[in-house]
Amino acid sequence: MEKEQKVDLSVVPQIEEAIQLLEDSEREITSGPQEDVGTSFLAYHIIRNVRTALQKMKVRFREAKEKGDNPIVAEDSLAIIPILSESYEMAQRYARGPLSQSEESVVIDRIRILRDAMSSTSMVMSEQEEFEEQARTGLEGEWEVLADAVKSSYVKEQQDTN
Amino acid sequence: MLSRVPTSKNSKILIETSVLLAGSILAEIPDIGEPIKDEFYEASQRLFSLIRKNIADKLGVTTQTVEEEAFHELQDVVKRLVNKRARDIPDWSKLFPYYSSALNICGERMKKLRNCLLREALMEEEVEANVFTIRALYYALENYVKTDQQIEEEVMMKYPTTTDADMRRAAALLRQELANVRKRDNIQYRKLKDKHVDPNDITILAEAMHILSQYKAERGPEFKLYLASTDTNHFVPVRDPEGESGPVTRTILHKTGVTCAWPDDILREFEKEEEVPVIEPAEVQWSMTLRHCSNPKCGRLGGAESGTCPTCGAAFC
Repeated sequence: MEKEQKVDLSVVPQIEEAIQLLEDSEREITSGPQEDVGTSFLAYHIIRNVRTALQKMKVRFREAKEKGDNPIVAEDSLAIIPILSESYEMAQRYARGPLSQSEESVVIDRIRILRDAMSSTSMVMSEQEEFEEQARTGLEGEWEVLADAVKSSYVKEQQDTN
Repeated sequence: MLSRVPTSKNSKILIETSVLLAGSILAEIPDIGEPIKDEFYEASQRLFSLIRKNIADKLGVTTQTVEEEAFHELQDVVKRLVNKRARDIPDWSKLFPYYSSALNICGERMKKLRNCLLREALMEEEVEANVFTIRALYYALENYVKTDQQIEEEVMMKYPTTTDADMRRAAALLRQELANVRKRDNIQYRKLKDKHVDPNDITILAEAMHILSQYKAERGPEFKLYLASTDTNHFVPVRDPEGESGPVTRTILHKTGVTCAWPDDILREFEKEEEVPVIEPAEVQWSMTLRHCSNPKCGRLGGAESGTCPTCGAAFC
């Protein structure tokens, strides 16, 4: 496909199949018994990113002809697929936790590698799309909680000192 | 000679993890009025605006330690938060997609901020040598913390009571003054003791020391390096309604030359006007009489006006 500079749309059902598998994994993590919710979250975060990268890939393949995205979409996909695959395997391995500090550090490094690869191959969801996914959860006010948590991670309250 | 007012030519700003994190936490949620942001988001963004204005001079710098720590810290904070929130929210599974999106949004913002910064090249051996100095420095500072009673006893030793009434009053005033200063300083010492400095903070300061020495060697001894931070435990002065407490910050400056400062304090420094030397009227008069006709045969003296000599038509110089 890359050589011929033509998009073979038969790849799309395979991507859809992989997306389905990833959605099942996400559901499994969020419905199973939790030993360590934080660790399961990191695994979920990796799998969700792998799934959204594949969704982007699927859209790009479908629109490749009209947008002249070939062979770039094929090259980008070939570059990112090994990273998606390794990331998914790691997430599955660590999904149930608990993790040692060094294992957790490896998982976070993996998230960074995955996100960087997604950026460099244009497989990242836009901010707008992320907010739309958030809106579907029906949770409100969690951003304030996050802002407070970040602040308290590096600023100890004054009363602590007295 | 380098100017005393900081500019992009005579100084650099090393962005520390806390400022990078603060600048990444913003949610402009569609259909919801006020954006939600970190308390120091605005201050961080204003500092990044200054850095962007001076992008050609590479005013803002960073190191790999800061970049990695900021990314890890963001993931770690969210992970701990999800763990905690899962106990409060019955349908906790919704937290996962929500916070996964939040992490991606903040992570992308952080990446944009990082892209305006120059990652400094470092000599690992020199940084390691500095690490020993910094570790010893923090260890010593942690041991400066005292109780209020200890401070009062020390002050009493310094200005003991006397039999003379006037001296007694003066000594009491001095004791009070000194005790107040020491109690204020004690606030930052106690914060440092409460939250031990971690290896990454030591490394960041050691790297800052090394970066400063490299620039001083290249651009002269007056070169200044700011470490922009909001971390009052280890770098910048504690602020409260009664003022600031910054003995740790002052000692870092004294021992390493690195100026740890809040983002808004750095901005204020950069906004200071360069002092323009005032020319006295007599000097103006004298410099005016220096203008003369460029024709050596004429040599007519001129005033402040430029142009040609009214006698021979040659140019004034």
